Amino acid sequence: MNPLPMVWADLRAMRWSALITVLLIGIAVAIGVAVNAQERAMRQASARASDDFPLIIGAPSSQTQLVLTAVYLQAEALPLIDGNILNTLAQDPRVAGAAPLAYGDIVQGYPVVGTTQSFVTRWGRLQPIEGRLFEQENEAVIGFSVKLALGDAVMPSHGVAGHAPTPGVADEAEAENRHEHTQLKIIGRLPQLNSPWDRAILIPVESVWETHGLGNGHRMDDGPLGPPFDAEKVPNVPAIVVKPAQVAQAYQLRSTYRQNGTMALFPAEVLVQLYQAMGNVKEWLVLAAMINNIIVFLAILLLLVTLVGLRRRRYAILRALGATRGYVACIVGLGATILMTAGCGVGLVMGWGGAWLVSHFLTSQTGIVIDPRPSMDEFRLIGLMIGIGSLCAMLLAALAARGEPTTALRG
Amino acid sequence: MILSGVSVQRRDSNGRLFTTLSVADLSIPAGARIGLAGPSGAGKSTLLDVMAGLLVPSTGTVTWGATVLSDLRDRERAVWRRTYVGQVFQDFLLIPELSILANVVLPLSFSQFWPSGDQRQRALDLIHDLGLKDAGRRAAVLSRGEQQRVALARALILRPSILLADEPTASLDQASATLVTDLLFDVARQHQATLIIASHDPAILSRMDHVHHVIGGKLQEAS
Repeated sequence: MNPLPMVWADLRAMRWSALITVLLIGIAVAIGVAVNAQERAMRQASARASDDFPLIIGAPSSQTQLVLTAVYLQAEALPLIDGNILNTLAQDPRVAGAAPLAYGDIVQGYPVVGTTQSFVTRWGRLQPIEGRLFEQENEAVIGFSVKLALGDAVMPSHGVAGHAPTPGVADEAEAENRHEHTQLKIIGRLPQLNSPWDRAILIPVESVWETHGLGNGHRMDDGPLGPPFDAEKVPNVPAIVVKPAQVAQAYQLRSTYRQNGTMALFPAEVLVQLYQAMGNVKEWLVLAAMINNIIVFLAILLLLVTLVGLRRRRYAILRALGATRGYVACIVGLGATILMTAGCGVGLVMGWGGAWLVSHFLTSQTGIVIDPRPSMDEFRLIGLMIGIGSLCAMLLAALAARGEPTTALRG
Repeated sequence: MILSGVSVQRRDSNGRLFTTLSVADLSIPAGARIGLAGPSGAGKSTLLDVMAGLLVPSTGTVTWGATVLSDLRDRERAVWRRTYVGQVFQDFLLIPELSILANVVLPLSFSQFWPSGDQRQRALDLIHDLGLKDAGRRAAVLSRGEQQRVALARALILRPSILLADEPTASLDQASATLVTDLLFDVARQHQATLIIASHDPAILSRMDHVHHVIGGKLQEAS
């Protein structure tokens, strides 16, 4: 038995209906695939971006905001904590490294972050791919994606509350709030981190303090950069990132700094809460997508039932020529399965394409490199759809094969 | 083929049974040329369906050699039909999206994946013998006369023992009708097939060995 010539003839006869059917199924499936792939990619990307921030200490306020500002560089004014904590942490045997993070200024839309050399190298893990690390207050190291060149001299501007600068674009607000007395020289570029830090300009924290008239945190004006800072002169800071010596000590440190006017958190635990919220949203989206899929499948089933009804005479001819009911059922079932499978395939490609486009957009907006990749989740979804589609196809096949052909033949 | 005590009953819209065909006794010798005449709706097509094994009679038996058609299951009747019966329909009933060749070899696809080389060659020979050119043309673009010839080639591809034709010239002009009629008789003779034609056309009926009239569902022998 070879139903393929008749399947081909049927698909050709209803080519426009077939095309629309494939597209409808494709769109329905694409929504489910895109939701899955996008959510998973965002989760992985955000987790990857927080890898270098084991513990963050800040002033008591919104934990989410502290993570968004400290890890993802989403500009927001944070309450400050006592800069002396930096010295305390430097003495603490449970701490492998601690660095201040001072935000607020921008250069051509890129956020300027004041910190220490050791955090720029992520505690010794990174080295500049061009140039060197900063050694003086007026030197800056840029992230991988910053469109500036080594040797460029730039002037930072004070960030304006409520104004979201566009990376790479020096707008009017930036021009109006320039720190005219500060000039920074670009002396190094970091490797790609696939995080918002690729679009950051890193300078010594002393430079940020000086720019804002707070001194340099040291007893002498031209002393070495970085800790230890002078207990009487060190200014307050928005956040401190801490690398605990051991995992168990991380919990002790979190506990220690969750009192006396400070807040300590693991970005991962805040992300888990965010993921739970995202997960709930995702579940609703997946449910909505599934309902959408069922409705589309039912509509398509009705369309195919109508088409099978219209082709009763055609199938009666085959029966008259000696085809069995099984042959007719095979033609209809195979044809419907091909349409459903093609629709699912198109949906898979469209879904991944959609997730890629959204990820590309989000990456351009946040700097977090979101890279949606195919996973078994989507294949499972497609498998389910093809399974449902095949059941529908069997229904259609049974419908086409039933009854005597003589009535349809003489119709 | 022997039909004995055959009747086909149906229900009307009120659910009452009525008889659409009644054949007390009919014996058709192999190689005979039998005409079925009668007004439209008299039951000629129903009788052809019964002979083709498409319709199981409500009563009576249809016997082909040692085979009683009504004893066969649906699948077995389908196999019997494609083995022994070739059918030509009034509206030709080709598959318009398929080529001439694909239409002709279509009955082969019910039992095998690809036609053998011999079968393909036979199909091409039939197409050639019936005066058709370019076997790759789609059926949708053929004239009515050409379509009828393709339908005839399709009916002959499996060397049927019985050739059934339902009003084969009804929708053709005079020239095409004559051509198709000649072809039907020629191929039936060449293939030593029993030819049974339901028709109003006196020109066709005059060439048959016997003509049976079907009136009000009842079969009468006229000549």
